Amino acid sequence: MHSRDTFFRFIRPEHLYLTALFFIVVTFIIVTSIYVYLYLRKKRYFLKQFITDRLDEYISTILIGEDALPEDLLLNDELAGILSRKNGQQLAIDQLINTKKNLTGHAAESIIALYEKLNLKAISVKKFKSPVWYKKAKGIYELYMMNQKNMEQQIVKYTNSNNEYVRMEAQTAIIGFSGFSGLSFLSNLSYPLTDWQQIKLLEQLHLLNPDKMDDLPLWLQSTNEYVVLFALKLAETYQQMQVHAEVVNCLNSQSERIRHQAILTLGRIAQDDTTATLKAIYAREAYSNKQIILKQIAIIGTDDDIDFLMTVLKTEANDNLKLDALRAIMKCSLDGDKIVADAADNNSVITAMAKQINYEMIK
Amino acid sequence: MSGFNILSDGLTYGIFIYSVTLLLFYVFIGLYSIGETRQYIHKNNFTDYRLLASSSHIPSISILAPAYNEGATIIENVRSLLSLFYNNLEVIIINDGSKDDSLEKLIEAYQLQPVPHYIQYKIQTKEIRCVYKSKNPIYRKLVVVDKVNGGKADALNVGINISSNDYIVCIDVDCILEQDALLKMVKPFLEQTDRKVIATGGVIRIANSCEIKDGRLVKVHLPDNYWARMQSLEYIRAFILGRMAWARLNGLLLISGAFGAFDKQIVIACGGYNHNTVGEDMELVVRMRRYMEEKKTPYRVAYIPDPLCWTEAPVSTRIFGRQRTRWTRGTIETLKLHKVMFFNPRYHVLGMLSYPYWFFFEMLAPPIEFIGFIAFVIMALLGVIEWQVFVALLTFIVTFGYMYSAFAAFMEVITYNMYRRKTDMAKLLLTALTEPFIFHPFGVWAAIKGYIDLLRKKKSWGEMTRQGFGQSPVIKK
Amino acid sequence: MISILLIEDDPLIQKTVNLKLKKEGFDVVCCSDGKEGVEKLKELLPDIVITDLMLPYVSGLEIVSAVKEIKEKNIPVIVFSGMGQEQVVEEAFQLGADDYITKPFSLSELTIRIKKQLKR
Repeated sequence: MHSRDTFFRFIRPEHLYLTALFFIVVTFIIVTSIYVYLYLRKKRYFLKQFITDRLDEYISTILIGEDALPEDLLLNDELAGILSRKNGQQLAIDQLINTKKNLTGHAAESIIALYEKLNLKAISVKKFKSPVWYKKAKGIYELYMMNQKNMEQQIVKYTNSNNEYVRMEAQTAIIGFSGFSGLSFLSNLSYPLTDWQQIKLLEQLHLLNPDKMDDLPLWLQSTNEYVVLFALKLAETYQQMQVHAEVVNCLNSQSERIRHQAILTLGRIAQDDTTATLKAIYAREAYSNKQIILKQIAIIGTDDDIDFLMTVLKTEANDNLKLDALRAIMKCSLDGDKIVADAADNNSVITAMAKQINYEMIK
Repeated sequence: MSGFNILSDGLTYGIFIYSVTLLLFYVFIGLYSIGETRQYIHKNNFTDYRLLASSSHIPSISILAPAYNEGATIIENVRSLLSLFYNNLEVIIINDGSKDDSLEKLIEAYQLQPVPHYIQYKIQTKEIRCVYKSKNPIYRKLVVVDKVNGGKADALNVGINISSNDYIVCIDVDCILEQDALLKMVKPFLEQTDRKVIATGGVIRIANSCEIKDGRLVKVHLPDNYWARMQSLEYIRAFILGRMAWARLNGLLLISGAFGAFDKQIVIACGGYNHNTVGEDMELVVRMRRYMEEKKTPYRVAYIPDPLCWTEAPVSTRIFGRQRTRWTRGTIETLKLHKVMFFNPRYHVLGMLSYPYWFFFEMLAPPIEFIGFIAFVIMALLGVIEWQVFVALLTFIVTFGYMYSAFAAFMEVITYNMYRRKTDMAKLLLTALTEPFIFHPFGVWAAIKGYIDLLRKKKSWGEMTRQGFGQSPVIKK
Repeated sequence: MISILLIEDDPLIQKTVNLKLKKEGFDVVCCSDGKEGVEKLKELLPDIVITDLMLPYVSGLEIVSAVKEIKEKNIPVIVFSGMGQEQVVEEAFQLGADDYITKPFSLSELTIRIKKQLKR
């Protein structure tokens, strides 16, 4: 019949069956791979358990801090055999790092000593020297988690690496080794610093005693927008009053995000004229910046600012801004609640808002 | 050459070309997703989420969980949400006019009291009756909103109006989230430099037959129920392969309504969820993307492949069927609303790749399959084509399906490996054998019903708009 | 013998603290989750409770609350917290916690604080 011929001219059922056979063979290969993989996974799991148990025992014994000599644990042949192989070594490093995260003082030092004694440092260094980005980054991670400060000089040049992840780990490492003085990489950074990384670094610094940051004014004027942002956050977190002028300057930046952070920072390092400065820029600012200006005025404002706040209350259409203005009024003046009550008179919207704010203040 | 022969030729070739194109797409998606998943795992190999979850610098999040007649489990669900590790968090439960005692149970269990809250209707919604917060400082993160019934989209919009934080995470209230879920979902927003991340999608995993203790997933098992088990496989294919590949292309059109994170400002600028469609989750993402394209702002929809959210899948054919019918309707309604993007270069990947793909291979696939199958059977019966052709084509497609499923299972095993036991894996693979004969045809049938429903509703649409809630959300320029 | 109730979900910390305290001569009962902790608390009425604040499902704050609700015995509570959790620690104190120690911590310091609380 006709159709059969047409179709068969190009595609014969044999072709289709052959392709189907090919698919079946590939399926079979894949299914076999699945089972091989599951088997290997299970082996790895038991290996990990074994290493974890042995290391835990060793560490606990040290931490109890005395008589029982943990050395004999290491002389155990089985453990030594495992630790001479690559996968065992990696599992050991991972376990040691996990443990160290939770402990400090003598306990942490013991873990680091064990890391060095088992010659695991060489593994981390080998990773660090690898050209593959994720191996290098992991190597750096392991080295700073294990406090290998003598690697600092080698790692510092990667704080401006073109690979984002290597760069991030190197920066984290340097802060880990040198604390605040490690921040000097900011002066030479030509790449972005993501919010995530900034949070990580801030959390790291949070653990240390605050120290001086002499280059802070420099960073606040950097051409790298991200460095400016981070510097502003540092100024905010550590209340660096001495850079007040530079921060005010940031209010003129083209970037809305920089202005946003500058406003937040000024709230923390306010001087007498800060409120006036903020009020002056209010009108031309974007919505989210207006919000935080009002929030800062709530913190640093006084009775002198009530007129401004009342104007905002009356002229702004956006409800959130009205709410923030009301909150500021309540906090700036001792007569705050009276002023708010007056404004609420005859105005159902403000009455409802005032009720919410009063409730917030009680808690 | 008779017209009939042209028709049957055309049909045969048409279906064949359609199938091959679809299969090629699948192959591409499969391979493309590998690189992306490996990259993700390498990048997050040593991130310590727990450390950052208590930072004061992380952005604020509001979890929005609409609840309708969940009285039986609502207390446990809320407890599970309240135990998540995240510093600046608000958990907003929106009681969508439940007819049962959900609200009363919550008020009692969490010592709630009505609080004055000035309600801002940034997005128009049905009336909010009352806002509750807890007297007990332990539960200070919890906000419960009682409102007039209006559907899931409306409830989510209420949550958006009430939320005071920067990012919203929209979930189904009975979802179980991993402890680090929030931080992982918010991370893409914090890593943007050149492109703004507007939303992040997560992976939904099937919780049926898993051991859950105290609101936390303790042990993963493959579901005992056939439908749930098939859905597990389907979800693995869709999430590990499909979504990952689309995310890499920045062409992701769908973030599951059961779990997604959004930039609240942009959601509000787009007008919030559309309550006139049953596919409100997909419609919002498409609309947000369209908004960013029209504003000519570089943007991205991110996606996290880690299993973060576990939910119970439907186990009865009735409920499962209804779900698929609803999904089809949602897809059709969404694509219809945004048809301006079809092969429109102004919308880049969205218009030239994502939309056409969804149109041809997701939306039209069920009717094409259905009509094609019947047509082939008829033609074979009439002797117009040989049974050989038909059987060969079917064999070709079915074996490809098996290969693809095996590949998806393999990817799952080498990435997150949730089903560790060999017996579980075997059961999963064996179940996959039945898919072309049971699960898939049922899915196609449910989808066809979706088409029928939509055509029927067309007649009564007029009435619906007259008694409707108001205007559909419009992108504010 | 003085009895200590330890509620901590990290297995290594649990093991280490357990061993150390046992060495110091205390009788230690361990729990890995809050729910079990509250049950054991009511059952045993220990002399002192040490609990992590970041517990899944039942928060550490609820445990502090539960301990202070016990009228028959005045049980001191020491809380562990991660870094940067000042707010939660403050809430713990508002609920009646007696002392806190941040992770990572030193075992000897923990022991000193326990002894101090027990002297009162």
